Amino acid sequence: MISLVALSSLRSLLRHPWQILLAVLGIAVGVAVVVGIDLASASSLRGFRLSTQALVGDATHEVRASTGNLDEAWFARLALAHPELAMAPVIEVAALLAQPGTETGPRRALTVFGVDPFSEARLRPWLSDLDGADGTSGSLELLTEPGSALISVDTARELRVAAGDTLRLRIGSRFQQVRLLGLIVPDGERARIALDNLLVLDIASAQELCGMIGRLTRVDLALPEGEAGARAAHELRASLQPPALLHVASLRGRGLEQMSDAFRLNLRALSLLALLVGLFLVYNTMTFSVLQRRELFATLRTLGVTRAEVFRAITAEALWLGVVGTALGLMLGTQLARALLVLITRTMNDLYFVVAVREVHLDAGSLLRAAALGVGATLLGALLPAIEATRERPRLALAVSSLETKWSRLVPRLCAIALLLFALALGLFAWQDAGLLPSFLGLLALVLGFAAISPALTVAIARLGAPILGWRMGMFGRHAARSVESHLSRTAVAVAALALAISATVGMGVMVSSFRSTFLRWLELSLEADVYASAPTLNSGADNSMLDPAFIAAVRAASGVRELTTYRGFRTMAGERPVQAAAITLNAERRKAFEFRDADAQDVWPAFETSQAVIVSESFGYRNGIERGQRLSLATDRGARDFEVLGTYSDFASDQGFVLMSRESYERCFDDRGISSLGIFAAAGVDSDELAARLQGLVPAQQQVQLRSNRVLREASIEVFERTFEITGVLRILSTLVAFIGVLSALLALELERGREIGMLRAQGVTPREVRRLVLAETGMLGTIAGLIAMPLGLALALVLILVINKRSFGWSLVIELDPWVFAAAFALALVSALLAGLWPAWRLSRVPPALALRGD
Amino acid sequence: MSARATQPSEPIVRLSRVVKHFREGAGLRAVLDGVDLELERGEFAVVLGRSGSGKSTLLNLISGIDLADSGSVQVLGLELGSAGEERRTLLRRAHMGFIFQFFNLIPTLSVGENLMFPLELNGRGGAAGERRASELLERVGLADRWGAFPDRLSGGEQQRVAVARALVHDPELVLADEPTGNLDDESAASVIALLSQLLRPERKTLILVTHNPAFAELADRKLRLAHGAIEAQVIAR
Repeated sequence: MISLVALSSLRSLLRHPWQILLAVLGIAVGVAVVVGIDLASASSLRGFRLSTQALVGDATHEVRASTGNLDEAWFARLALAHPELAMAPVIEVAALLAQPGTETGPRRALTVFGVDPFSEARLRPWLSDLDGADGTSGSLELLTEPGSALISVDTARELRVAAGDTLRLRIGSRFQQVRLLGLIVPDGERARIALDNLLVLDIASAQELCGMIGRLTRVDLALPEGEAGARAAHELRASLQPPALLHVASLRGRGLEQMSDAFRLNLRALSLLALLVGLFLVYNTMTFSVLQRRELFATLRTLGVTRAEVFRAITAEALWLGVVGTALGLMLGTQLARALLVLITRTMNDLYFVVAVREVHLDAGSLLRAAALGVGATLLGALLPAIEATRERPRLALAVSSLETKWSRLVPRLCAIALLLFALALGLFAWQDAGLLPSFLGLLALVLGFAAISPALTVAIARLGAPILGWRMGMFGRHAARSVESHLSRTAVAVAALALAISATVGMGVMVSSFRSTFLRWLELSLEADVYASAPTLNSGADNSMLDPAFIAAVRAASGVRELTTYRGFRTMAGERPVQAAAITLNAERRKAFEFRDADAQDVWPAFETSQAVIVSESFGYRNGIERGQRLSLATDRGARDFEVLGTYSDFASDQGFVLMSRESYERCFDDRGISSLGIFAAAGVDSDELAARLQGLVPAQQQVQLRSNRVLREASIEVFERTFEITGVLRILSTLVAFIGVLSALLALELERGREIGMLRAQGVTPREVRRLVLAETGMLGTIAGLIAMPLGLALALVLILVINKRSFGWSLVIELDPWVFAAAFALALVSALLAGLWPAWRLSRVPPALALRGD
Repeated sequence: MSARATQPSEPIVRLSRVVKHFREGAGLRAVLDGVDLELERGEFAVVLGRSGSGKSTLLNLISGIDLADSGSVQVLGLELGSAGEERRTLLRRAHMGFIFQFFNLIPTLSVGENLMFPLELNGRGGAAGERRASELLERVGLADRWGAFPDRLSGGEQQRVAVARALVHDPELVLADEPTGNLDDESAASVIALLSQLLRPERKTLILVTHNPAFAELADRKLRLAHGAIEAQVIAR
């Protein structure tokens, strides 16, 4: 049975249902942001991981080429040398569905999976015995009909295709067609996951389709467990020659996953900022609810209720608010995750790896973490008010004035705490080698420091603003400004919550605008050629698309073309780490595009072109601890080779970073002679758009080459950039929503406190309209103060995000760009949020009859 | 919680050289400055004095709500200055009843629940507690208002409920801080009469702070506070 202490407290709370509603909503939105981002991010990764793992099947190891594809002769060699081992050749290539109607929508990726059904029985039994949905045996027909494929019934349903249909795909630069022979009914969950988005072909068909005649993606092997397996692996490694390398199959994809770690970490940090705003809101709400009931608590204490009992009653309330708000937040967050999944998957596809995820996976771990965070944050938010309520000696009817006196005495102490927090934050930021956790803790200390100093700033700004409001609105203006100071216990918390949310928008805004301007400057510098020709890829890291040599020759000979530079992107390994690398040819203009951070260009270029050397991007150097003068060991077709690092250059093409080597070095170490893109320099007086259009005519039939002028490529790059940061826009809106709820809650609570005061004014002849003006002048003042505080806090957040967190997570040095519009918009947002939040309380207060108001709550 | 059992002959309240200051601006003002007082079990004491003379502070010190800056406050044998917050609270819970000028009924509990509140705190809820509360409510003339909430009652009725609440758990010491200050004359007289009727036969100790000299005539002891000290003390018996 509920105790009378809890009952009295609960009923008191229930007298103001809007207060509960707003608190629950604030917690819910904060939790929803965290859970939404977490679920969407985890779902996209899980989709990638599940399909990777499912396709690994029972394979324990794989043989791959250090870069590019493996000669298929390796399969025959391995099968002859190790007849006791289960092994199967595999083609696995990402393709884009190019069906009519899919050009403008989200890109739909499929995986072409070429297998030898006879070899699969021991590795992926579910593939060796495919049953068509129509009852026919799919695997046999696969062998007899070239250019035919099978997909699962689930994928067919999603793509709205049926057996007998022809699919048009873009694989690398070429358009290809495959006919669907039949649909596979997956036998069990493992098969269903593996077959999702998979286009299963006979290996010979897949080689032809993907332009990989005589090549394989890899050979999968199942080695025995234990000592025998270790021995077999040792023997295999010894028998392999470059470029063939033996890898552990389960580690496949881990390198790709790690690429997106920093991106996902940043998303999580931003979502936690929204929760922090929510935490302030809970603190706000609980403080008000305790303050409003201070007479009740004093009476209870006088009647013999102990401090512990009061504390328990308040924390129990907070627990319930937290549980209900969190439950609602989990539901909202699941919905939000569905919307964010599109944005996050698109960025993953743009930047990291191809993944097609359409369903949010309700990961119990993510939900539990968010639930613990929501309830924990609520309890934390209630902790101080609960302690405050129990600390007070139970003198009855603690006067509001004495409460405010206490607060004004607290202001200098809070300033001292703020200074300590700022010093702590600076110390944590300066801790260079400590990784990201101290940076985030420093960010938290900074935010709390600003929250602690906000009462002092509120008083100072309100005093400065009083003459201005007085000049504009006379007595009401002066009263409004003073009222902000005289209700400091409430106004300061509301101001801090709003300022924090607005500063998050300033911080993110400055970070994005700095990123944009640095990126544009880099783009301007690095896009030197007039036209770029490239084989389309599914993302910036893909390396399976090559330009046709005949096309390159035709471009070189075309009129209006002055000079060409070439680029060949590839993936290789540095020890166990996957590395994105490129082989380049340069001309004088291209050389100018590089800005070295630790070397003189004059020294770099001669050695770059003549010796076995590389240059690395800033983020690669940062992530791998590589500096000028060190040696980097890379897997090549001739085995592992050491390359001298000549310098570190600025680059924003990838957060993983790049290793660049000269074309000459590449050809010395690798057999491949492919070129993935060209930089085309136009002769004097030739328009680049016109040249691009003309060169398009040289593209062979059934191939796709992206020919983009400097301007178009710049626009396309900016588009990807904008897409990447779209999610920060969503987070800014959600943070502001949480803050708006906080201010509304604070103002409504103040309204309760001020019933008598307003009633007295009304009794003395103040009209309802004047009451509304008075209340709105106060809320406008709160918004102004929050806006003014948000600017330095936002700037500090931006500096931390740019100079510390981005640097430590991506390794990028950004030039800080202070866009005045970001600040102006943030200030306007603070003011408008506060005024909008003030409308309802103003209207309510103006309608209270004087007699009723005089009676108070 | 039990305070040390006092012998019937021992004072129930003993104050010795009690000093209490309050901050006023930058300085301190002595509200009580060396107060000595002893009250016997069953005594009905009235404390008189001007506003700000320290009457309420005296009650706060006796109840353990506030602590003296120096001197000794002993209630039911317990030295409050060294007792600790928890023990003082439990002493109040078990052995004291409070009546306030502004009634201070718990607005979110019904009249019956307000009466049950001290009983539940003392682990004496249940059917027996309800019988005791109903009986007391009947004695204060409000038997039919068990389910009503305080805001539906008149000031006089609220104060009668407050009297019942102060006595329902059978406390040894009842503290009343200007219980008639917010009532009309008729209601005020009725409340004081009620207090006297309920407390005298039970030999409960009552300390009543009031402005009204007429009520002092009912008291066993009259104390007049002025300038931080007990200026005059008249014992009627």
